[in-house]
This record gives sequence, structure tokens and C-alpha cells, in this order.
Amino acid sequence: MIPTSEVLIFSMALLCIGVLGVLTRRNAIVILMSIEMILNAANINFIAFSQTLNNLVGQIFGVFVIVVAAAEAAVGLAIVIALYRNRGTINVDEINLMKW
Amino acid sequence: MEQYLPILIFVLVAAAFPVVTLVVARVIRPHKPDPVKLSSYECGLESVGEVRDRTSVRYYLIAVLFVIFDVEVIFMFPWAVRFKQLALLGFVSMATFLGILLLGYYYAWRKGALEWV
Amino acid sequence: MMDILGSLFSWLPVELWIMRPELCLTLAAFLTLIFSVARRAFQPRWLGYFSIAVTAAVGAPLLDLFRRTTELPGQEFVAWNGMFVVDSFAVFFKVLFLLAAILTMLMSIRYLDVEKAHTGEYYALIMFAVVGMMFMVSARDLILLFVGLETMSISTYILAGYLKRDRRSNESALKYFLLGSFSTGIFLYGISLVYAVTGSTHLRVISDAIAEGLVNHPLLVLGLILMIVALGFKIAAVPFHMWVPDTYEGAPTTITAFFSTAVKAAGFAIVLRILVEGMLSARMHWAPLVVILSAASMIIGTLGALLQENVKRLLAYSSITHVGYLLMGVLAVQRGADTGARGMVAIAVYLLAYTFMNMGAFGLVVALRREGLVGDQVDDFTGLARRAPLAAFSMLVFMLSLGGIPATAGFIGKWYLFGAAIKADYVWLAVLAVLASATSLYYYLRVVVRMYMGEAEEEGGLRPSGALASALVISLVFTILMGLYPQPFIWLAQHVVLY
Repeated sequence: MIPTSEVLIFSMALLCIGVLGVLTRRNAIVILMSIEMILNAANINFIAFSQTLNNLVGQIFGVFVIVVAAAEAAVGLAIVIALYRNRGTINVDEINLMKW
Repeated sequence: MEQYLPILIFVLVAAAFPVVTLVVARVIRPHKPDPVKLSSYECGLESVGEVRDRTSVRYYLIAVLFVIFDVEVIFMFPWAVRFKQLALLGFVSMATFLGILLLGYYYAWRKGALEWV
Repeated sequence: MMDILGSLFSWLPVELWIMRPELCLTLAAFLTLIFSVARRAFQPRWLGYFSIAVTAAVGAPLLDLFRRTTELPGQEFVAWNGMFVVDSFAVFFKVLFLLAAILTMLMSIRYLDVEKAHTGEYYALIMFAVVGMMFMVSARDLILLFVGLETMSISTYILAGYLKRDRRSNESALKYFLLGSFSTGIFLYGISLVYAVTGSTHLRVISDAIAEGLVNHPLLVLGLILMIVALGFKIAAVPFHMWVPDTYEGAPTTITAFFSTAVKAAGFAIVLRILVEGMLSARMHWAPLVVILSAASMIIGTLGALLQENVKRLLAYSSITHVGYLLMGVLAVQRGADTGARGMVAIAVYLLAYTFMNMGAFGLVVALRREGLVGDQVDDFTGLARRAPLAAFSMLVFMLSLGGIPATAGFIGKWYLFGAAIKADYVWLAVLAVLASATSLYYYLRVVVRMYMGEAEEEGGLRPSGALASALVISLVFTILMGLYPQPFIWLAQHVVLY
């Protein structure tokens, strides 16, 4: 079995990649994908610790996270499409009608 | 370490094989290109249009609906595995859940999200 | 009447019986959704009235539950393996959500006609959001809390972008969605670390595990920090406030009102649930963070509001300042001291007052909206006192109340909050809060001065619909009543204590 510490390192790496993606990328879809990566990092933790703690709660949580992530992605994509229809861009730097 | 030597040899041979075959083929084959030969191979049919063609936004709608309804099935696996133990409570809960999904399906249908125009 | 309604549901098993409000509201939301697309579709207006009636009717089982949970201190009903709990804390917040939702829907009916975006889904989404909030405040397990939080969040993302042809609404929804779901991810990662250390997602079990010596486990501390960051996003505390002004400005005004009252109250409810019920033993780790959030929110919120020309944006920054005040109430919660109860009661009083006065202020912005005028600029209020004296007077009351002038609801709320902070030895924070609220009077009164001193460019009064007018009157009456005769409200808020 893979030791927990390595799972933790992997999930933290995934979290960091996701956070960096959210902070540096300018394309709304890519940001959305980075957010999904953060959710998956959490999911890996849940599943791994469910195994090591011999406790099913983590797996149940994982199932809920997957479903919620799907619903969230659907709404997010719909918002992006509505925006694209009105503005012709999904670059978050150009989405700046409101400032200060 | 010694017992790993065969593996190392195997890896080297495996890596060399594609390189060698490609290089040898390149050297000895005749090279006479024409438009038909250069076109991408699509099961022997003539290819139509560009690869980066745009897909209709309708396709996106169907895809999103698919993702949602597909993922919701995840809740049915634990229920199906423990169907007997969960007994009536499990059945009623799942029936309620599916009922809500059906309502969502009805809504999408009435909204015209399933029609391909 | 109550008994008849009670016996109507008496056949239900207790697990469902204590969930009556949630079940009724969910059912009503689905009915609204189906009615809005049925073969013989109902008028959206009638779906609105239907939603308001159902939401108000859900108050009856809630009041019944309130009576039962307040019979004895600490009385609570627990179901679903201890996941779902109905205590007086949860019931108080649920009443607050219903109130905010009713006021929002009353304000929406004419507003949506003007925006030409009147559909039944709008009301269904508000009800789904309220159902999510209700599960959030009743959750004693992080799984249920997460699902409730997401039910609320996803509904509110859609509501923020509800005017899908309006560019500002699109932008508002995108910013809200990206930062909201980002914070959800951070929140989940924090939960996963807490689960890794304590082996449970149940707040009581987590609390016991922390008390038994896991307090300084590095993963637990990291998880706690991540959870506080995410909650900071949800309640819009500085430095996690970047989305607030844009989202509040771009969203439909009625929805902005809903965000700043109900969604914010729900955020504070889970902050209290998690930090007090689950993490009180780790107070030394979260208290410094909350101090920073509180102080920064007061300073940045006040400075940001000073120069705003847009009323919605002004109120957005002012809501950040109010988050700073409210966080002092969270800080007042300490183990083994009666200041804890004081802090929670202060938060409840303040949120109640804030719901009425903020709803009212946004209601006036809604009232100014008509064809060809958005009505969200400070200039749009110029000379309103001449055109519509009653409307101008109520705006005056709401602004004074937000600024915390005595004899208004806002003063009572501030009195309790600042008092709790002082009792808990955060005197410097209380001083900062007083300074911030003194400064905030400047930008609240700026609107008032325009209304009373300015010369109106156009003639004719406002013609709010009956529903909007009644929402404004309710807000106005309660804002004044709570300022002059606060005892019943404080009695109500005194039940908002977690044990």
C-alpha cells in the first residue's frame, strides 16, 4: 500500500497546481479546470484517509464532492457561455466593466 | 542490483526498437508524396472538413445534461450493493432521489433543452 | 391553529418531523419549477405570490419548533445519526432566512417585470437557496454542512447572473462563481485535513478529538486555517472580499439584497457552528486570524465606501465593514466564560437588525428602477425628498440605522456587539469599530444630503408596486421598532446560543 505521507504530498501538489492555475491563468475555462483540480486534491485525501483510518466517512464525502463538482461545473459553464454570447471573450482580464 | 540487469537490457531494447525501425524505414523506403497520400487516413473514406471544426452550442447543452445525470448515478451504486440491508428506507430514499431527477428531466424537456434544432 | 398544523404532520417519523420546514419548502420549490414550464404555464407573477405564501406558511412549523426547542435551555432534536440537529440556534437563523427571502420576493415582482426577466425559476431558485441555508445551520456533520452550503451557493451563482442579457449581471455571476467555487475547494481541502487528523466529520467528535490533545497537530492547524480562509470568502471578509463590490453591483438589485442579508447570515451561522461547536478548543489558533479579518474588514470596508458614486457598490463596501463588526462577536466566544453567550446573542441581534435595514436600503434602489433608469447611482437619489417624501424618509431611517444612530435598530445591534468585544478584552478592536462607524456616517449621510438638499431633475413620485411598498413598510417599521423597543427582539436573540 502507498504510505499516507506520499498521498498527502501528491494531494498538496495538486492543490498547489490548482491554486496557481486560479491565480495566474486568464481563461475562465482554465480557471474552472484548476478549481476542479483543487476539489480532486481534497477527494484524494478523503479516499486515502478513509483507507488508512479504516473509516467509510471519507468515501461517502468523496461521492458527494464528485456530484457537487459536476453540478457546479454545469452552472459555471452556463455562466461562461452567457458571458461569451454578450462579450465575445472569456478572458477574465477583459471582463472589467465594473472597477472600484 | 544485479537482478535488475535483465530489466535494464529489456528497457534499452524496447526503447531502441521503434527508433531503429523508423530510421531504417526512412532510409530504405522510396519517397514520392502526392496529395492523396498526404491526406489524413480516415478509415479509407475521404475526409470531410477541418479537424478544428466548431460544434453547435446545442451539443454543449446535451453534454452538460449528460454529465449531470450520469454523475448522479454514483449514488445508486452503494444502494445497489447493499440493497437487501438498506431495506425499505433505502428504497424510499432512492425512489425520492430518482423522483427529483425525473422532475429535473421533465423541466429540461419542457424547456426544450433536448431538442436538436 | 398551531395544533391543527402540528397534528397534520404527526404521522411522520421524528427524523422527518423535525425537517418539516425544509421538506415543505423543497416541495414548494419543485412545484414552482414545474408550474413555470407546465403545459398550461402559470403567470410568473402568480408563481411569485405562491412562493411568498408558502415561504410565509413555513414559518408556522418553524415557530412550533422554536417553542419546543426553547422550553428548556439546550433542548435539541437530533436525527440522522446526529447529522441533523434542530436547536434554538438553528431555528432562529431559519426564521431569519425566511424573513429575508419573503422580503426579497416581495421586492422582486415588479422589478423583474421592468427587467423583462420574469420567470418562475427565479422564485424556485430563491427557495432552493433557502433550503440549502436551512440544512447548513442545522448540520452538525461537515458532509451535510457542505451539501447545504453548495445547494445555497449554486442557486445563488445562477441568481447573480439571472439577467442573462445584461453584461454586468454576467460579469457579476462569473466573479462570484469563480471565487465562490475556489473557496469551496479550499474549504473541502481543509475539511479533508481535519478528517485526516480526527477521523471524523462530525463536529462533536472533532471537538472531543481536539480537546484530547490533537490541538497542535500541524495538519489540523493547516486544515483549520484553510477552512477559515474559505469561510472568509463566503462571508466576504477582507482580504477575501475582492468579488463583493463587483458581484453586488452587477447582480439584480433584489438578489444583492438577498446576498447581503440571508447569505451573509448563513455564512455567520456556519462560522459559529464550526468554530464554536467544533473548534472551540483550538481557539488559540483561530482567534488571531479572526482578529486580523475583523480589523482589516472594518478599515478596508470603510475606506472603500467613502468615494463610491454607486449606491449598490457603497452598500457592498459597507457590508464588508459590517462583517468586521460581526466578527468581533465571534471573537467574544471563549471557553468557560459568559462572554461566549454574549457574543452569539450580539451577532443574532445585529443580523436581525441588519436584515431589516439593509433590505430596506436595497428596496429603495429597487423602487427607483424603472424603464430607462437603473437607479443605483447616488445622483439618482438627488431631490427625492421633494418628489417622494415618504420614500426619502425611509431611506433616511435605513441610512441612520446602518450608521448606528440611537433609536434605530442598527444602534441596538452595535451596542451589543461592541459591548461583547469590550467584555472579551478586545478593547482596541471596539475602539476601531467605533471609529469606523463614525467615519461610515459620512458616506451614509452623503446619500441623505443629496436627497434633502439637492434639486430633482424630474417630477413625479415613485410608484412602487403594492408588494414592494409592503416590503419597505415592514423593513421600516421593524427598523424603528427595534430601535425604540428592542426587548422582544433581544429576547428572541437570547436563544441563539450554542452549548
